[in-house]
Amino acid sequence: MAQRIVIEPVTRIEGHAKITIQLDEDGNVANTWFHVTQLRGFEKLCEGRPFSEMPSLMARICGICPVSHLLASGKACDQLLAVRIPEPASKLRRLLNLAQIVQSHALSFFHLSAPDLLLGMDADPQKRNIFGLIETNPQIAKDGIRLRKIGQTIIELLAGKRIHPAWVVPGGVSEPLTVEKRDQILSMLPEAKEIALRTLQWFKRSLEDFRDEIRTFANFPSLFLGLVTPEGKWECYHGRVRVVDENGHIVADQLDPTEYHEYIGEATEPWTYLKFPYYKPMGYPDGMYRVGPLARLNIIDGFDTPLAEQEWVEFRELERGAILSSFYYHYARLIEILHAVEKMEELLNDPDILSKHVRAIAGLNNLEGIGVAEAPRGILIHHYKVNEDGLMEWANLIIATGHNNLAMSKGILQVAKHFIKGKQLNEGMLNRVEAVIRAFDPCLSCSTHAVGHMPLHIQLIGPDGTLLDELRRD
Amino acid sequence: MPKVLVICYGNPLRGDDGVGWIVAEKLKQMPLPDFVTVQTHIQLAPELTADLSEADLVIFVDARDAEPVGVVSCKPINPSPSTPSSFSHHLTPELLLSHTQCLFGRAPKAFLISVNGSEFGYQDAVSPAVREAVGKVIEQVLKLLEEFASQSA
Repeated sequence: MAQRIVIEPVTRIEGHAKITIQLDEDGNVANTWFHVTQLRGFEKLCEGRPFSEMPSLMARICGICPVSHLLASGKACDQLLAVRIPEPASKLRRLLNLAQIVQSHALSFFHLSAPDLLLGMDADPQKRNIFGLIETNPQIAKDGIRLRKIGQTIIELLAGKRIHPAWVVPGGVSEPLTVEKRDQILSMLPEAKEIALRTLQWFKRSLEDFRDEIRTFANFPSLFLGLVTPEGKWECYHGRVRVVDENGHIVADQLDPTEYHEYIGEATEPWTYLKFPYYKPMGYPDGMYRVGPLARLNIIDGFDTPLAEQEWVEFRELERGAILSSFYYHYARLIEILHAVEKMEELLNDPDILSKHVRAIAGLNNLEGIGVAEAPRGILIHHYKVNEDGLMEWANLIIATGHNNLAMSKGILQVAKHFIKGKQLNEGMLNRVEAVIRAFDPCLSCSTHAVGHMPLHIQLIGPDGTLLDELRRD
Repeated sequence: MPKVLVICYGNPLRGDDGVGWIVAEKLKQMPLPDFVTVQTHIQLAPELTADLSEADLVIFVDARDAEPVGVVSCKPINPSPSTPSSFSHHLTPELLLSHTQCLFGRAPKAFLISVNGSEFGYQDAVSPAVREAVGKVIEQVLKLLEEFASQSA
């Protein structure tokens, strides 16, 4: 007798999703579906708006990573102006992106995932959250709060406000950095570095406790895709695209990110609003790839900062080829935080960062622009077309969570098959199904431009519609 | 130097919930003492514990869904480890104080100024009665600041 389990909505992720799990007659998992059920459609609503409004408008897609959209949009608009922005502006934008990576990764690791890691996947859901963490592991909670605050404060100092800043403009940034602000940011970085190093040490020691999760959390071969520097180092602002396979071999390198449509296709399925991007040369769905922290650490030849480089070398020793378990997204996030802090120090100690020449002024010179940057969750693409008056005619946004959609869906099936047994549900089983998604840190508000969620409702339904089991979180 | 934080919070795109932002705007235009910082937030978040831990007095300003509309109330509040929400970014001032105490070993003295509102739909303006109450909120904030200054002197 086949049965169906529905988890709706998935909690502690950004946005609204549900999972359907189909059981076979013996009560084993036969199939799973990851549904993204809401749509806001920013591509459509921006039509007719002046392109100069796009960075600020696009930043509204998300309250967690507005900076990422701001940057990708700013870069697309730079192309519409056909300008090469001043180097100091480029450095300032990069600085902003690094601060964004720190605050977003801190949110993902400490607030959303650490409760699972520290309190246990089977812990009471009323306690398995940041507040439970504050009571049981105050040092970790305090570190997470401090780190996120440092990232947000840097964003605020640079861009005027921490959420939805408007500092990135077509052609550069609107204001140069002052000495006072630079010094203030520099004074916060030693603490951030200390927290990143301390957390990495703790997390590496804890890995042994998660052998089951490491083995089953979206642990399968796939491609990995992201930006690298011309030397193959980690990159978050400019760079070119590299694709690596499960063995760690480079499949494609130094691809022009603005030619993304040549090698990235987008498939759709009737049961979700979230598209399924794939690597075109391998077709759909074989061209499944992963993006984000794990992918970035799999594609690079190293970091250009010493402490992150040292951690990366150790990280890559986990496996001979690419690191395949998505559980290691958490580990990769911590290394990226460390690198971001080191890199910010480097940029802020460069005298050029205080230059007053931070914006190129031009009118509309191109009718099409593409901006690409690495958001905390993975590569982000903004593609715009405008008319002769500079009004938006068309936009296409490919968001990190979309890139990971195929891998997340396959990961859910893998973890459900391993942990869900029989007709009785329990929180631990279902939380692991959710936790594999949290490992990817999806932002569904970004990827479908959907708004949030609240309670969790799970039903186990028999083939005749009978409710066999039910769990509810209000 | 003592530190006072005025935290005005609420969603300015949800009608009366945005009254805190109007209060903050007016306060920022006033010649407040150097030890006073005015912040605006859409909602209270765990990150605020770091700021609270460094403050001697915190004044929260918020709207609440209650009758009669436009009435302003002010009460001292204490750390209270009430049952938290399952989600990571919904906090009460009392719970925020409790977390500050737990994480940093101290929590500041705190007051909550609430304005009764009734319109919490999608709109970027507060109702007339709530707008009229803004002056009373400012008065209340200034009174608390004065009391604090005289006690600290």
